[in-house]
Amino acid sequence: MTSRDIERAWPYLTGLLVVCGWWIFLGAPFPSPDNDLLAASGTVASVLVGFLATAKAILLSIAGSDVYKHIKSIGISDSLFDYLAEAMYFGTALLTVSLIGFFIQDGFAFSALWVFVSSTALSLYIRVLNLIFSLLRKA
Amino acid sequence: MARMKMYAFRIEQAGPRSISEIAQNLADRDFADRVPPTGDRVLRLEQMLEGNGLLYLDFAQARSGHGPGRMPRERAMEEFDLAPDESFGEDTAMVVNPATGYAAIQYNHYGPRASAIEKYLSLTDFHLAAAGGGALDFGFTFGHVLRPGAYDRVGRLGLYKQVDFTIALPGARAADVEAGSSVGELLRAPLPQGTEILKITVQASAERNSSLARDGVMGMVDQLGRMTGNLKRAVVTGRDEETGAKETIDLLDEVVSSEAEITPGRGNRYARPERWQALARALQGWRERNELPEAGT
Repeated sequence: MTSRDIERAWPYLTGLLVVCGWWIFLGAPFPSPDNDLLAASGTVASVLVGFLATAKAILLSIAGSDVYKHIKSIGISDSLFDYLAEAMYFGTALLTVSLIGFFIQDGFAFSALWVFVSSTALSLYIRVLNLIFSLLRKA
Repeated sequence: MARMKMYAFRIEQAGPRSISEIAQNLADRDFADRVPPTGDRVLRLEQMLEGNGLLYLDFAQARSGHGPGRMPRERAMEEFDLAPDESFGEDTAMVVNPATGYAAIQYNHYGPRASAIEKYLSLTDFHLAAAGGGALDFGFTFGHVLRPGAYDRVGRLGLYKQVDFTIALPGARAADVEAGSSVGELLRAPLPQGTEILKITVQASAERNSSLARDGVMGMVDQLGRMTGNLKRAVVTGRDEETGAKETIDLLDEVVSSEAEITPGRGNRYARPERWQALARALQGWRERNELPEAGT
């Protein structure tokens, strides 16, 4: 397993581990009623997606820099944008799950889904944030 | 007549495939397929020949940026008509003695340098290793060859006062991407070659008779000598223990090299056969003058 494989997988593994930990060690707690939590997570998801869209614009603004040209020439710019897209999709998924939660009955399946999506979205966001800062330091 | 500079290199092979095998693999491909898919630049093997126990290679690199023009003596400069799939190219010839591992490489200021050729062959070797499955042993190292006298001169210094060296950090490479390095690791790596420079000075204490350890200095000299174009400066400063005379040895001045006179031919270029002959003569000359340490030393 290469460091790239670990980098690709760790946010999703983190989500799974968090769900397992939440279920096994904490007994799967979830607020009831959960409207405040869902509203807050929907707001957070919106902020994350908004920031990531701005980050994409920032990356495009440094497209003329030596460091960006180099990472493009060696083939990692696509991976960087893939990571950015994954973070945006999961942020959108968190927003969607939060909205759905307002309409469905509470249950273990939905709670587990929310925990997984929120922790994975946060991990994906942290991953791309670290990479963007590394890139901007050299731009 | 013009003068062509040539440098000696010692090639170390890290994987099971020799340069001859890599070159033959490349030569069997169409030209368009000789450029690595994720290479840093458009660099390819132009031609290979084997004979007289030597391997003759020529590598070409597309020239980027502002290109040359045609300059008639009595008219204004004109552009060349290049087809859409054409570019200006610069080539560098290389002759390898597979038996000894030594090579003579042409110095072409605008063409691929030894370090670029090293990366190109290593990347090709990597792809072959990956395609074949099994262990990922691959790559070549092109090391400068220092004149045997250089080692002797350094070894004779009684007191080693200082070792200075400057290395251009190679930065993240396409081969690192193919080998599975994470994006984070690659972004933390130095910028492209020549952009980040590492300068190191190892200095003995200020006392008159202080000295760096001899074994350490000779070890550094040996390692620095193995570096290719990444090594920008390497200077050993010492003092004769008896006379106290200070001596400074610039190792890059001690790199084994030669020059050959070549008559530019068609297109004002050095013809490939002439370049190969000059390189082969240089290799033989260095060997006859015992400027190439025995393999394994």
